[in-house]
Amino acid sequence: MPFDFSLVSAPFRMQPGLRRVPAGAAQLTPNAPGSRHLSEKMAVLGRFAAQALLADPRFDEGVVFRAIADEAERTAPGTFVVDSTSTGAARIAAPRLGWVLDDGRPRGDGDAAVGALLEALPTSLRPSALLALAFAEDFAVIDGNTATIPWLAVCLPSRWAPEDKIGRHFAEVHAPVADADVLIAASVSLARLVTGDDRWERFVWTISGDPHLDQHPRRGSVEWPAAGTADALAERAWFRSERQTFIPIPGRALAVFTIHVESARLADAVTTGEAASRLHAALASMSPAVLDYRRLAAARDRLLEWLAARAARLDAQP
Amino acid sequence: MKTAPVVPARIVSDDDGTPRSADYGDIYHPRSGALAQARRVFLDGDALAARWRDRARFVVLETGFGLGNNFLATWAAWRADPRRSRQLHFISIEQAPPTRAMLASIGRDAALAPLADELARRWPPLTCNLHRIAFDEGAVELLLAFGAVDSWLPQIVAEVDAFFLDGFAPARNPAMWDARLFKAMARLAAADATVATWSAARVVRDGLRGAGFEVEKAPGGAGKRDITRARFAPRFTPRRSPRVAAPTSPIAAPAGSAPTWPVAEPAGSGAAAAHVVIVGAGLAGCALARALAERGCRSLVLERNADIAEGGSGNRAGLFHGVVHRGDGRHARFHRAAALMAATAVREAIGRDGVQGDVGGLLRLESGIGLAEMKSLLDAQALPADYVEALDAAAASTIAGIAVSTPAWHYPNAGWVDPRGLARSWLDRAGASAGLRLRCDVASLRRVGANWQVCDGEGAVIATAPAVALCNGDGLLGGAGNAPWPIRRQRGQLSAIDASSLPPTALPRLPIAGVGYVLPPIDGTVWSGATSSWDDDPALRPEDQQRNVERLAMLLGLRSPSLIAALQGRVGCRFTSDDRLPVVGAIPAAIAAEMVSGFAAAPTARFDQPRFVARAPGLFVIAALGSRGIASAAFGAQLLAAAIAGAPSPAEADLLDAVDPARFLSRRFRRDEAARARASVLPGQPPVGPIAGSAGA
Repeated sequence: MPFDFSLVSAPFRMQPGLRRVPAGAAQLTPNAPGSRHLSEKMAVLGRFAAQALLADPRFDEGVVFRAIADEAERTAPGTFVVDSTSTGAARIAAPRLGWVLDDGRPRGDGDAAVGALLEALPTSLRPSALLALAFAEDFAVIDGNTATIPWLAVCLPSRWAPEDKIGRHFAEVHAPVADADVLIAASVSLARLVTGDDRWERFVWTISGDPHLDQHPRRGSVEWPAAGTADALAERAWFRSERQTFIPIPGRALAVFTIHVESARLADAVTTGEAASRLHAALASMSPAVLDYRRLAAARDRLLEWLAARAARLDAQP
Repeated sequence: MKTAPVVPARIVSDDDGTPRSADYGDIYHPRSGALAQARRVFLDGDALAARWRDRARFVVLETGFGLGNNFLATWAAWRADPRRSRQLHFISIEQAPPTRAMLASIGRDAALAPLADELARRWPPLTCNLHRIAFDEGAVELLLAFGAVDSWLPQIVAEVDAFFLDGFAPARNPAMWDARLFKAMARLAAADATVATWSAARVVRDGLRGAGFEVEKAPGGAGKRDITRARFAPRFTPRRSPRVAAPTSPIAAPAGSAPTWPVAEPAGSGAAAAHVVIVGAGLAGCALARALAERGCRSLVLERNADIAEGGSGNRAGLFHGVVHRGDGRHARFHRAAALMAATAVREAIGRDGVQGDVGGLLRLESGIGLAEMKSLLDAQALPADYVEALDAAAASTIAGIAVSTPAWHYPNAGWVDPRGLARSWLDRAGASAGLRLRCDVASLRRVGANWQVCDGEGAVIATAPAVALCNGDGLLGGAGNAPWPIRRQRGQLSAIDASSLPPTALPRLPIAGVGYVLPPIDGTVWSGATSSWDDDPALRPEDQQRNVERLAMLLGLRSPSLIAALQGRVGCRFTSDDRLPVVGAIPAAIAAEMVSGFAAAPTARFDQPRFVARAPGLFVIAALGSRGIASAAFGAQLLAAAIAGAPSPAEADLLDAVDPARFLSRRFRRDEAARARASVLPGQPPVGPIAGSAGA
């Protein structure tokens, strides 16, 4: 789905920006075999599963699998199913991928690479891995009582390291974020809110020189070219957006946090004068701290030049 | 309005799964399906798609919400129509509503299921109120009245475009089809209003005709022979509800028209002209800016201080919660509705803007009556547990996280919030629809043509607009002159205690109120208060700090208050009316004549009821929010914005009367009438003069 540029506002502010999920809007996106998200997730889980699949040992992750399976049954049937075998052992299935975990053992007739990946992982990580592969979304769990993150399955982070966040308080999680005073001050309030009855969503965006969905800070990254024209830089620029939503787990003061990353060439994403103008205004109003945090400082001026020209050109079109 | 306990529906299923009311012995919808009936009878019967096309607003009123299928079908059709009205208001009355759990368990047509899920999530507690639920970013407004239709219909304030009559069969539930209801509908009907119902009963057709509707039968389809359609075509103009018949705002657009309201040019500003100038950027003013923006109105907020919410709205944190009274009167209904609306507003402010707060419940300790009496009070009013519950000390302690020694009222949909953050969030949400000017001290108003000029102390014009709303605490201008309503300024002092100085076992997880209140730690500080006194000393008083510390010790069960040191505090003021309800609504012409030099009051024919008192055009007030400013601002702003924009009111008529600025005139009039009557039989009583602006003045 194309990004809604009316959500880009100026001056740019780090704020929660949560709004209720519109009635009927799905919060889960099934991964089709061969899709970009599936491919990148498999690459991450093949080499860095321990950085992506994390759980506080005291946390019962079965709650998460059941909650996501319930949600999938409603809005993405046939994507992720949790039930029991005749012996009472857990059976976790990703029917669209053609793979099942029967008491932890992979069985299925889907892409053999998925089966091999699951087989290679420790048994304890396989359910989280199958969940991660079944959907385009990454997942984390928020505990409303403690405002902590007891569980994560995040393969495609945006310049943050999931392994640094596990078990941490919401405020600590956001501590490195530039200009995030509001988020940090309200972290307890927000944790309680998103683990209540309502469903919330938010949208975040940035412009990146790195085309990959996986932008874990310790797995390498693509930097902006130090020199070159605005047009040359824009050709290497990607508009990266995230739709983040919360699926409450009733009666447990928990919520599943979903993150759906998309990335498109900047020129393909910005197709109207208004979109270009909004991005220009927001980028122009970012503080130096935010520009540094988002690694935009080296590209800011050339991006502004390109966006201004783009807005003028698109506005001039009949 | 006489309220009655709301008793949930008793729903059973027929063998084929069709839901049936156990109370009325009738099915909720035909076996052919709820969606099919909704489309055929109501959406087609009222020709909604053709009639809401390109309009600013479309208003539906339904008798018999049932399981909500007609609302869901209307909402789905509105969503799917690219030429839909900008706003859809759906008012529905239901005597026996389903509980949230019932609503969530009902099977739905696939087209309605996602909307039904959202409806169930947002379903309000079953209390006798007009519950407002906004969907699709406020474009769709559901106003749900729980109670008997004959009690509620005369209380609705709206101009209705389409009626859905969907009660159980006339033979099984005759109260839903009484001729008096059709007459009440006629008082609400817009000029081109239509009616649709599945019933073709003679009593229905005759009742509609008798109320001024042209009636026709139409083929029923799906196994039903006939249905009824009607169009409002009165032979004479019916007596309208006074609030609808006499709109007080010059910017109120007719419901069907495009929003082309007249606006005045702003004085010395390149900004877009405002429909409404709001005086005061506290909770009330910011809430009003937001509520007006939701309804398509632009506003300009003028604040005399250097920042918003610096007066009574400037405390670090404040509470919001409902009340339980022995009689379910206007106070109880107002504060209940206000608290429920505040809960929604606070959740949004936390989520959107990261405002500090929590809607995780509040405990109100009860020392006056025992648990049994508390429970019997709730039983008598059938107040549901998701609004309030009576807990023994042990249960209250579990929720509070500290040892509580008395029973307590637990309000699950209550909590605390940073008022300044909430005000800022409201203003932010108004977006480009609201401008803000700080350090702008409004001293007077001038009426020029169809506009109000808002002037400073030198008489210079600050802004001009067709409407002005005074949201500056006391509703006065320049702080001079006699108050036009009985209002008093009350000083309150809050104290801040370092949370680390308190035992961890004494830190509550949620706000606790009783004699005073205490909040859970916020950024390492526990706030406690508030004192109240009738003076305006701005300085922190040591004796008040000590009193707050003692209250905190009592609420938290601490034995040594002398060991607790209050670090700091804040002094604020609040304004309270003599009946302890806010002052919200259009300012009477007679009062405007006293407030505004040179303004001539139109004569008022009647003073006996507030709703008949003549108003100054485009002059409004929200004041006297007292100690419940957060909830009263949220609710009061919605009431006033609806009145200004000409939208359906989210409060019943007698609640509007209860907060009406004209109520004081009416009381005085009635008191004077009684004095006159006494004087006529008791010679020697002093003469009583007329009220300024009255027809007899």
